Amino acid sequence: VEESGTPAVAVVATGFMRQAQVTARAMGIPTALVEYPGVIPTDTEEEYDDKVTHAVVPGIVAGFASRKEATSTNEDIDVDPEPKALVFRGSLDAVHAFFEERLWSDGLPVIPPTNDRVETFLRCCDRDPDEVLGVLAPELREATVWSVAVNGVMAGCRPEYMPVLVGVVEAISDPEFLIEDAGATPGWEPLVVLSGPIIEDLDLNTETGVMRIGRRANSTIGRFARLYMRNVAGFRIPPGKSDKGTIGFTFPVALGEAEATCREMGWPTFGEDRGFAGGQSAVTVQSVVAISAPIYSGGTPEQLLEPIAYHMATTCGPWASMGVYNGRWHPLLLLSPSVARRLAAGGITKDDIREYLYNNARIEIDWFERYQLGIGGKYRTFAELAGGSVEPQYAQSDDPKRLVPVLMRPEWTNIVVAGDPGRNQSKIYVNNHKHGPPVSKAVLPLRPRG
Amino acid sequence: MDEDPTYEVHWPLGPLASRHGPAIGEAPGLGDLRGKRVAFVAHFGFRPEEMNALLRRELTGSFEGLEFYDFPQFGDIHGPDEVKVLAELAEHLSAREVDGAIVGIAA
Repeated sequence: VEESGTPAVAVVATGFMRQAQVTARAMGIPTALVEYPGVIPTDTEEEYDDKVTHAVVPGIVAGFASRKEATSTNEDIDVDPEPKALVFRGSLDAVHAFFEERLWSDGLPVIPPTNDRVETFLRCCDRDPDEVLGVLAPELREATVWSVAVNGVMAGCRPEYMPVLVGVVEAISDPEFLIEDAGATPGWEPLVVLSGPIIEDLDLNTETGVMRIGRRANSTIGRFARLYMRNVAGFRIPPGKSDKGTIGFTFPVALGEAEATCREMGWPTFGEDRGFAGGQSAVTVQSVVAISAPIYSGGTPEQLLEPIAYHMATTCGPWASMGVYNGRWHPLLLLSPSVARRLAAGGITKDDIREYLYNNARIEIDWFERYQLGIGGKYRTFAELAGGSVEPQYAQSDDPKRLVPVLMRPEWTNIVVAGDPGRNQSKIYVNNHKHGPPVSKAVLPLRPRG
Repeated sequence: MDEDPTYEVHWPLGPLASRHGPAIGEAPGLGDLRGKRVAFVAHFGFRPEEMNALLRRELTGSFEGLEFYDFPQFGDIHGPDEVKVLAELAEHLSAREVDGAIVGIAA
């Protein structure tokens, strides 16, 4: 709006004021913000009327009358040193205290990003340290190769992970990823999935405890993704201002597929599903907002898939309504190798699994519609919410108990074979609709800079 | 006990893109709302119908000649087509010769 030369006044609920201030200041636009005092979805109609009439409207009038200039008083962003500056010297404890005080840490101890360590990382990647991989909202900072190295050191990565770390940042910088929405209230985390030879090269765990902290590559690459989003995009929980994840959870470790198992079964690997040749390493980043309970399955192919479809429906749950509304929904099935082998032996392909889940993971649409009351403060039918653009199958009748798919497209379900090959447990990782859809980038072979 | 080693450390953030200059120029002020054209653009998710009705009632009732443009005509600024909606927003505002916009998105 401001870009068009039109004065704007933004109405912002109390809990989002600080986030709005950071964004407005980073963009250099006038900060005409009017506070709605309270929580919109839980206020009664009378409270809503009273607050809009007596707080919001006067604020709008005042905001238009005397709009504040874009200020340069933001304590977070106006004391920036030069990008490659050495900013502190001290003991390990003192470094931790210095970083924590400035919200430059995720709360865990960090490896001090000394010049020697950063340079060692940069030598493992033939990219210009000054190269800008993207500009990350809300703080609108440049994601440089240099800052990738610094945060990689801090997260405890090894130098040889650097090409993967660059790939992670290229993925989250892609406009399709919508990094600017990573501080939204659902509170999602970035899941990094590696594919190709890099899995073995970096010694990723792909078997028992695959999603546990415990193997350096899995743990630190996963940590890096969240740390980078905190430090460079600017998503910091309180006393930071921009991360509005209501509850959230902790970062998942990086995931690698048991690719040898896929090949033995004649299934394409996850990397091949994402369009990469078998010998090409790649990194995919997607959001994760919910994780299923453990899914044990056995028996015939149908019996193996039934509980997975049930858990797909219940884990996606009413939140899948936001996928239908926003037009994106990409859950990831982390499939047990032993279950995968049984399915493959029965002639079932990955695409068969996707089709089965699409047809059988269903929920009563009443849940989709009633859930809008909690999300936005008002019950809506799907037709009302989507303004008529909702897909026909979700508006084909008025029966509130009719079953509708939680998955929008069979091909949008990703499948990664990993976990304990001696057990039969799978899990589902649900992404946050159009926020953080899977974005893949090739990982270039290690070619140290001269 | 040996003395702790010391570390000289780098800054872990990235430079602000705005150091090259403001990304967005400053729009002029609006002043008095009498006779002005004011639009409400909104995310459709957080009770915009109620907000729209209240804003229309209060603003048109308080400022003579104020024209109020309801939110649906501008599209959902945080919905399925938000990229397209935002790309076309300036054109929509300009076509209606809107003087000022009220923007509502966060809950």
